[in-house]
Amino acid sequence: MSSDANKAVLVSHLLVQFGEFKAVNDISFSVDKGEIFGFLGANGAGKTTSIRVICGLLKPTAGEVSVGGEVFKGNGDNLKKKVGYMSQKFTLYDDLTVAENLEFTASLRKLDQDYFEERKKYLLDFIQFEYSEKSFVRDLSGGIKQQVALVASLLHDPEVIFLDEPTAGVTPVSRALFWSLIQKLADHGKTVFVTSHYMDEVEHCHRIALMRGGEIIALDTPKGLKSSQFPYGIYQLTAKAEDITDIEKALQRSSEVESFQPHGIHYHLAPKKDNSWEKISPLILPRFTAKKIRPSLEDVFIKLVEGKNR
Amino acid sequence: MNWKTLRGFIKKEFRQSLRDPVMQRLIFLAPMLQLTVFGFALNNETRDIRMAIFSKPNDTVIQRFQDKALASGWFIKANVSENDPFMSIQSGEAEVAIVIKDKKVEAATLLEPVPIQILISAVNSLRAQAIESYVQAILNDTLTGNNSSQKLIQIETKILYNPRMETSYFLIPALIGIIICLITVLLTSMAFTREREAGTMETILSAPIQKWEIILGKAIPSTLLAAVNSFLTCSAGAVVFGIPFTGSLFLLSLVLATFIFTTVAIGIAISTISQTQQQAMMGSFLFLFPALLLSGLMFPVENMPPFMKVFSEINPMTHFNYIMRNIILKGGDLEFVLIHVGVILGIGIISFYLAFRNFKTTLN
Ligand SMILES: Nc1ncnc2c1ncn2[C@@H]1O[C@H](COP(=O)(O)OP(=O)(O)OP(=O)(O)O)[C@@H](O)[C@H]1O
Ligand SMILES: [Mg+2]
Repeated sequence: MSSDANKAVLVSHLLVQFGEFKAVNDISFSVDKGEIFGFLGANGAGKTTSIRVICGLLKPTAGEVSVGGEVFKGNGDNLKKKVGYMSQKFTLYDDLTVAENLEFTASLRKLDQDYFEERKKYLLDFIQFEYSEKSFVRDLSGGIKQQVALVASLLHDPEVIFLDEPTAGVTPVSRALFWSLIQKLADHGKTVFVTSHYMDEVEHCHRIALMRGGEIIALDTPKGLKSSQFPYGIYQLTAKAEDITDIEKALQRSSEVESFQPHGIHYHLAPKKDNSWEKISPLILPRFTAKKIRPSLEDVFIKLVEGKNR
Repeated sequence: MNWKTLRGFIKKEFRQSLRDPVMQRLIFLAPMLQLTVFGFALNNETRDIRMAIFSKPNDTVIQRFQDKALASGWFIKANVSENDPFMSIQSGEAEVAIVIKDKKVEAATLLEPVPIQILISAVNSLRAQAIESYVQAILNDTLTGNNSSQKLIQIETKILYNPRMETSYFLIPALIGIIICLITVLLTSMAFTREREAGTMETILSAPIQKWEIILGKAIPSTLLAAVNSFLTCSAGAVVFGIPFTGSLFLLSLVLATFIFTTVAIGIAISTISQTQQQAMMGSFLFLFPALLLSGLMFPVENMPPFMKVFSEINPMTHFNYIMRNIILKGGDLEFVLIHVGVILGIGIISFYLAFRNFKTTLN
């Protein structure tokens, strides 16, 4: 257990079944203290279900979960105390003010009045909240609402904080702002566990677990994921003429090509071996303009998630 | 024991309910309006009763009875084409037939009483009950002072407590019960489903809270709001319909409090087994309709088949009606009231127990 002491979250062989259906199928991983850990996956991959178990909201069918050394017991109260949770659905009351919402959350966590006031002030400063505490939540913009929801989930100063799609449906500027808050939390030593559908923002995570059909199919740093999936880089090809059906088929069948896929108005080609590009470039260059690019997480995602669907 | 969560819940619930204009109207205005409108609508007294009399000619007692009946304004003379009392009722020509077969009433002796048969059409049972009371009251009135005929009539106690035969005395207390039950059950059954649908339930459950905190946190505000509501409804009953709340105010409050406790408990129990607002609504009506129909207001409990009687007896509304009639019209017979309060309380405790057992602090 000595090496586990540094772990904020430990999950081993977690299984969650709804009837016959395995929403989470035997996943194991750990999250270090102070880490920003991302969960990436298509709809229904099992992200929310996993998080609910770790937060003590859902009894696992099998397997073990521990947060800061505590394992799921009874009704999960011991885990609930340790974590902060901002659920995927909207978590504030529209018909209450910001102050009233926070007061209610504080009462759920049984915080003392003085401690609550101090935390509230600190956290509203932290998000640089510039409206009145007496504003009704329904009058705030989507981005601000999410920031207030973040404050609510941080009131009791949890060690680990779980954010389930915190930036879904807010503007790009608000998304960037929210991620700067996540960054700041990690700088303060908090462990942040976050899920998202946006590939660009997941790049900010220290490590990413990719989920598909209830399983973790890859887990690494963003850099590691890219280099392990695309060791020889990616070439962005732009067709010179309209019709490329013949060469498309040839490239897809070629033993030198790992993948060849349309990507917007371009194509992305991943060579299979170290010297593949030299071998196939004479075939390609007359028909396409080519540029070597760095693979994005989106490429990784498409390759791992959609590639395996074939 | 830490009361912070419970206090926080109560504060939040009050803020939300008192701020919502729909809720405001539902809690404060609707009950009084409903009572007044339904009260007047249902309160139309039984009048123009078609009465046919089949007696020996020149029976002075019956003649006097007929004069009194017609003068009361409740009865009119039926146009009867047949000479058979039963046929006249069956054909609908008469609603009530008074039949004295063998001799005049004044010829009755102790040894040979004159049987008086009263046939009432019970197509409408409420109307039939009223007709029965009226006929007996007028007969009784006619026969007073006529010693020889005293034995002929058995007077039902019902009339005793409602000498002016005002139906609102029976109706309004029952309506008060219906309104309290309707509003309380409907509102509390939404207690958890509203949070579930909004997604806030997940946030609540993500905190280490106890079952009793969340259940009482929802039940206490509902109870207090229903109490205000029932007070307003009773006041409306007293002011608009002049119901003489002759019983002790303490007893009345005790009964109302118990009844509200139980309806809140039932609402909470419905809420714990419903996932959506629609289910909660369905659940409420599945309770409310039978509760209303089997409360003794529509059909007298005594006339129900034994199987239905069981349902009537486990219906808090039935017991509420028993008590309210007793308190309002008789002033409250302590033992009687306490027995029925006990039954209502029992139903409430069982409902709370079920709610408590069904409620889960995880999402499983
Ligand atoms: N209570 C439940 N009962 C039955 N099935 C469930 C339940 N909760 C989740 N599921 C199913 O489990 C699967 C995983 O759901 P989950 O919400 O964990 O996915 P997700 O990765 O969070 O997806 P999304 O990106 O849409 O939020 C889905 O197919 C979902 O339908
Ligand atoms: Mg989800």
